[in-house]
Amino acid sequence: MKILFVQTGGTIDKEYEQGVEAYNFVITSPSVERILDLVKPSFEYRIVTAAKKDSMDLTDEDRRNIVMVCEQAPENAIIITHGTDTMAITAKELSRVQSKVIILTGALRPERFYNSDAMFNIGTAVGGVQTLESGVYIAMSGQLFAWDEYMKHPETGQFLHRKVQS
Amino acid sequence: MKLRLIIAGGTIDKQFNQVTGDLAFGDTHLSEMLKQARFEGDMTIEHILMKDSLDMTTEDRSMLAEACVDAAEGNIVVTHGLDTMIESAQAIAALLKNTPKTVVLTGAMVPYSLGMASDALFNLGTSLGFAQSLPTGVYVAMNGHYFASDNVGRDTDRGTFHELASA
Repeated sequence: MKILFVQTGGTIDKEYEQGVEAYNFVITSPSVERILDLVKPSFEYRIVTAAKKDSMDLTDEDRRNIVMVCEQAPENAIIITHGTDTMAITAKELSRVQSKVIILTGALRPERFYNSDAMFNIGTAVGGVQTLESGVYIAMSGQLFAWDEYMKHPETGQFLHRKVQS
Repeated sequence: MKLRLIIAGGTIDKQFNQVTGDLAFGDTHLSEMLKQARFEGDMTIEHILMKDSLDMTTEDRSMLAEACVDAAEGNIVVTHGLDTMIESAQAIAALLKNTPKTVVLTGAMVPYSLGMASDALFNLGTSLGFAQSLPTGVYVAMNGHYFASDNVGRDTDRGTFHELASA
């Protein structure tokens, strides 16, 4: 199995800008690179960058580009790293991609930071992408959600099964 | 989905002893790991052992297999040492027979307590992903890959697992 990882930005890939008077977060190289270097996975993989944005700043055009990257990829197993705020919006756009397993994941703390959930979340996505049926899913907080059953609670930030809540 | 996590020890849970300079066992780190993972699923944690898997006895393995059979949940992750993980997976499969459960055993090459050099959180993540999506059966999951308990071997030099056909 070969897995394609698509970087789109989000907290998982953020770090503090280097330099004089630097106070901003910037999105740098894909954290997936470092995670996979460490765990030495036994599957083949490829990493591409489709965007480097906080997910609040992703435009319709960015989302069209992400969909195109997935459609044109030779891989049928795709993991997208993404900001958690608009993950569900991108997931909906991706739902028109046929015959592929696509999992969106991210992190609440940057991979570069102590106590980050990045490596765990990439792990959950790697597990799901090899075994789930074609479709679009979100892997967060150790859970796998079908894209249309997922919501991030607007106040608590918890990741919830939408149908369970209603 | 209701999950169960069974803790059986192994390198994943070892910590550095500052007095002796050895890696040894203290309390389990699994709660801390799940906190770092921001885990929010529905999971029962059962701590049955804290051993290097080379020190596990036949009774230990029976107890582990019984814990899998007795669990109310159908989807189980077991944290375990790598050296006898295959033996335990096969013991669990033998006792489970046709009980419809998905059991995934995992561990780590480097203890979670050693920080960013550890593969522990990745393996815990993949195992939870597999446990929620694989069909009924007993599996070993390491390096982002899963192996059925009746088709897995270990390269003792490199420490990696492989399917028997490709050995």
